[in-house]
Amino acid sequence: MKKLLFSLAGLALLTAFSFATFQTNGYQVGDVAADFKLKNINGKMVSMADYKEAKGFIVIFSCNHCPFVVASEDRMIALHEKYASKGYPVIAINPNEQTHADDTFEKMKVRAQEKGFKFAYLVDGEQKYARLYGATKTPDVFLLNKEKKDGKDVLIVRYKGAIDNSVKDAAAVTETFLADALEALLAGKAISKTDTKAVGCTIKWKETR
Amino acid sequence: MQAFLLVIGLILAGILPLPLSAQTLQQVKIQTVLDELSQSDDTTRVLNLWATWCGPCVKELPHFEEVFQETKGQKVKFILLAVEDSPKTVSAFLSKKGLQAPVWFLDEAHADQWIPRLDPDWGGEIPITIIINQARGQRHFHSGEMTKEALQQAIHHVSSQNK
Repeated sequence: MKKLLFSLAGLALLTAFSFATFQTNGYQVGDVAADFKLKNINGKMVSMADYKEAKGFIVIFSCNHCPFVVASEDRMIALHEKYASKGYPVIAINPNEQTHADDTFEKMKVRAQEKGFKFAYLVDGEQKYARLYGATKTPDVFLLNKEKKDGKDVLIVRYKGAIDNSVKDAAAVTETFLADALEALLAGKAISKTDTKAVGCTIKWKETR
Repeated sequence: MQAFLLVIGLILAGILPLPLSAQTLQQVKIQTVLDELSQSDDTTRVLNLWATWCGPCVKELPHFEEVFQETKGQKVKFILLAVEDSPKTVSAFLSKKGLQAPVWFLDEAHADQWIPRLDPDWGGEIPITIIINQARGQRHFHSGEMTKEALQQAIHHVSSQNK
């Protein structure tokens, strides 16, 4: 009887576990993130492997038109300015369907010029990486850290979610989640909040989902 | 003059509706929304999260208004919850559009706190629609813009299935 109960408990646990695994979409904190090869606004293909000196990356799924992205652009610029030299550059990726008039590659160039982006702004036309990473909105942040695993360099997701706790109003920010996570990585300390949520614009997925 | 006074009197008495009466915006905390969704009666609740600054949200609102009108008298309750917006902007939007479906304004400052309380699996993208019937144990989560047909089908499904 005891044995039966144990197997039942084991089965329940297994079911719960497989259900949880099945449910999770995209990367969780601690997962190894895949590198990409995507076209930058200057026409060149960019991979994270190209950044030999980088200690990691601030990958931000972004776009041109979303008002919450627009509200975040100055913060993205400031983050790149502060952390690129410390080893963590921003890489912005536009995953929106290219038929959306405001989110075309041409409009990306215009927006980057207007705002003077110094970071790569890539187009994920096939939406492959937005799906792989599990981005659902713009802006959506994945902080990757370069670490050794089995003797090889891998990029581990160490933080995901929001830049801070007030997207629409930079003046009302009371917690700078992403900057705090970066400071923790640089200091070799544990990140206190590794996964945060914010409201953003739904990614404009292609119909054939 | 007497007829005019009569009309005014009837309007004041609430017998005649005012043309294009804009609803007063109800400001709520997340707990009020959670309480509403956890009601255990056999009523299907349709919660749509939107903002005036969100293009696809504004585009799909007329579908919600139409289905709201079509399901009057049925056990279906609509809540169009404006999030991450300002009450002033939302009120102005409502007067302009003349929406009759109930609109609530979420008066919460920090999305990182209320988002996981509403749905820990939701990434924070809008629009989203949650259709729920506690008595039937049914829940439907839709991310992104909805067509009128998809909305009708989801309401029908949640209202007619049993767990």
